[in-house]
Amino acid sequence: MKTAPLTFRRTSLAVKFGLMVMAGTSLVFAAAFIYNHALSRRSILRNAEINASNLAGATVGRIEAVLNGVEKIPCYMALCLEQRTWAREDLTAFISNGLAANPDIFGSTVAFEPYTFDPHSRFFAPYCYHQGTDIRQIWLGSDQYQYFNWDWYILPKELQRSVWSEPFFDEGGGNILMTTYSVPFYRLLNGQRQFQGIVTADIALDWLVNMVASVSYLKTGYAFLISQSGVFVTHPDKRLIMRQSIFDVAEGANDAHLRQVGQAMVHGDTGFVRLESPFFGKPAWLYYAPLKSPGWSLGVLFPEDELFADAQRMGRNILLIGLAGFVILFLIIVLISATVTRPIRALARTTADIARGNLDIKLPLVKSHDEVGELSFAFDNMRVALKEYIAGLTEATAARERLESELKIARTIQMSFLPKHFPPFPEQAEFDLFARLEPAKQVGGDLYDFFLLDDQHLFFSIGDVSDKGVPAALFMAVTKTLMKGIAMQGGLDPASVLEHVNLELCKENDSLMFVTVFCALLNFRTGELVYSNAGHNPPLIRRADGQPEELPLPKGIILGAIEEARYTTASLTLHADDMLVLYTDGVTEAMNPSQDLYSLERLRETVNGVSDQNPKTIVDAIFQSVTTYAAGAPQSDDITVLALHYNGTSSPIR
Amino acid sequence: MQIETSKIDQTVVLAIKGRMDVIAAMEYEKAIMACLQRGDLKFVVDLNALDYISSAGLRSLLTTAKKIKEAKGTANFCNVKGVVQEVFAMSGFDSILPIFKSVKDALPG
Repeated sequence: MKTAPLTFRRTSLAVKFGLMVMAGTSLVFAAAFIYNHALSRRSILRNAEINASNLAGATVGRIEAVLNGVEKIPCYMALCLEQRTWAREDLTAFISNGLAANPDIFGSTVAFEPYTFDPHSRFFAPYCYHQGTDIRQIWLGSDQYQYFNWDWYILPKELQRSVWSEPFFDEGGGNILMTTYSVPFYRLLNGQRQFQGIVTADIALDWLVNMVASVSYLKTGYAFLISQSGVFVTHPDKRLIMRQSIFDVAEGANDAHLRQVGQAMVHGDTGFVRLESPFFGKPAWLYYAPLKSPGWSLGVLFPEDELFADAQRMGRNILLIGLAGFVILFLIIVLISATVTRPIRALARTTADIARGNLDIKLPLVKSHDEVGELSFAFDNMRVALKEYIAGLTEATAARERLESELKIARTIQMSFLPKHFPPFPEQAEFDLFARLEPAKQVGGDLYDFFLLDDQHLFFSIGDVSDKGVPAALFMAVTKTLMKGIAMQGGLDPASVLEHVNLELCKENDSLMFVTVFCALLNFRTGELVYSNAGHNPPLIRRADGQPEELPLPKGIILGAIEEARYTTASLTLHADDMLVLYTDGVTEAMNPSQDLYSLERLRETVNGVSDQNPKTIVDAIFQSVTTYAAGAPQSDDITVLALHYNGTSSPIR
Repeated sequence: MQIETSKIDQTVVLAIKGRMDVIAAMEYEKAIMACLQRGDLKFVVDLNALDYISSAGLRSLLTTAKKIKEAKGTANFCNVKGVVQEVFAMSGFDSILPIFKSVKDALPG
């Protein structure tokens, strides 16, 4: 038996099961992870906004507190200036004192309109400022520096309110970043408020730079301040300070979003936005809030990756732990599956052996009452059933072979006993004789015989043993031999021959076999036919001028049944061209595939249909007809036909 | 052919109907052998409805009759008529088989 190669590449059930469970678990894990990630991201962002807002608020508060303190001095000075007329010395002392009282203020001036303080003097603007621990004083105003044309003077004058200037570098006073708070003051003249001049307070912004620079958020997050026009007042990148505005940066990076954000900041809005801008190098978040009094805006900027660093680290850790968990889970599943499938694998190995034909192999014992146990049990049942089946098949095959060889023997016995040379007596012109026996697969034990007793007597017979196979063939041989032996003694009529044969057959006939025999003795000189019958089918006789008819037979029981059987003889005379057709019931009971019998009627028609006088022609016609009728259906009995044509006494020698 | 089997007391009555050719003969033998194996020993074969019997049929009647006899049983036949009776007469069966007029007559003792 050829089997399919069993070494094909396969994935073990355990690994497959493990992978399937892993796939399912991974899906659930991934969903939970993504949900958790999104949720924590949102919460981190909210916290970051709150923190940044607090930070910015605190910074703004601190800056404003300083700025508000600074504002009070020039306001107070303006009030004082409005209430009385000041002497020159008093005024400079006043300024100097105010400066001394406020270390936050770098310098201060009271700048009058031309010719207002002194009708002869175009410029009057004493300026006091800190120089180390001293307070120095200079006079502002010259043809090169006509102070009343400068922004710090014009803006509050025109707007009629206090104004913080844009930050600037004071190149004259120590090259430091400054901003100026300018307060206009007036005097009532003729019932009208008349503009007199501007009180200023300059403050150095280095403290502001330091304060804002001290603000840090996360690792590299920082704060910066922009002025009313968007110019950077403070920024960790010193190159930007006072040189570039947020709009310059937006322009340089061609970043519309940053421009919008800058506009919102300048406008005094509060917001929390994400910036993709290359300004920061990587995605970042910006919280911004306004400084109300100077109209500046504070921004707190921090990179996104740092914001989510914790979350990312946590996510990575969760992933790592999950991965480790997965590996462990996978190993456990594979281990469990391997344990569960071990009997199956053992079973598979054993079945492979069974497939190779080893049916005696013991199946691995599976004690569990689960599916595997059932499977193993079923396999064992199959193995036993297969074994029995194969044993049965082997036995049946042997039996059939034995039977077939027996049948071959039987056929050989049967055929070797029959005369097979035709024409048998070519020198006898008075009759022609032809016979043919077609044994069935299971040899039926048919027989025919013919022999000359002397120069005018032909003995011929046909018979059929009531059994099959070797016993029938042997019984046929015995019958034929007995009959010939007894008939050859001479002087016995057919009935006596049958009686003698019957007696011999009845002795020791334990096998309960019978044989039907029709035998006849023809005096071919005269045409006289004497015949007797032992239960055989009546032969057909076709007279030269007539239809085939059954030969009228005397009573006679089949041979081998009872010893006391008596047989009688009948006789008739054959004339020229009379035809005798002897046959066994294998002819009339030949079956077609629908198990209908050939029947005597068909035999009659066939015999009637052949006009040829040659007995071989008629025998062949009968066989041909029967074969056609059977249409391939296997026959259960031998088919035998013997035909004798009587040529007459005076017919010419052929 | 059909075989109707009935039982009267201890006797199996087989009524054979139709044509008894070589196939029918085998069925008949099988039926008798089955009865013998069950332990039945008394048989009455009713041939009332038998239309035709071939030599194979005759052989099987004789074979089974001998088997029954060997088993110390009895096999009686009845209602033999028409063509069947002619065949019985020709083959001498009427002289070797116990033949009765009716089932009732054929029932042993």
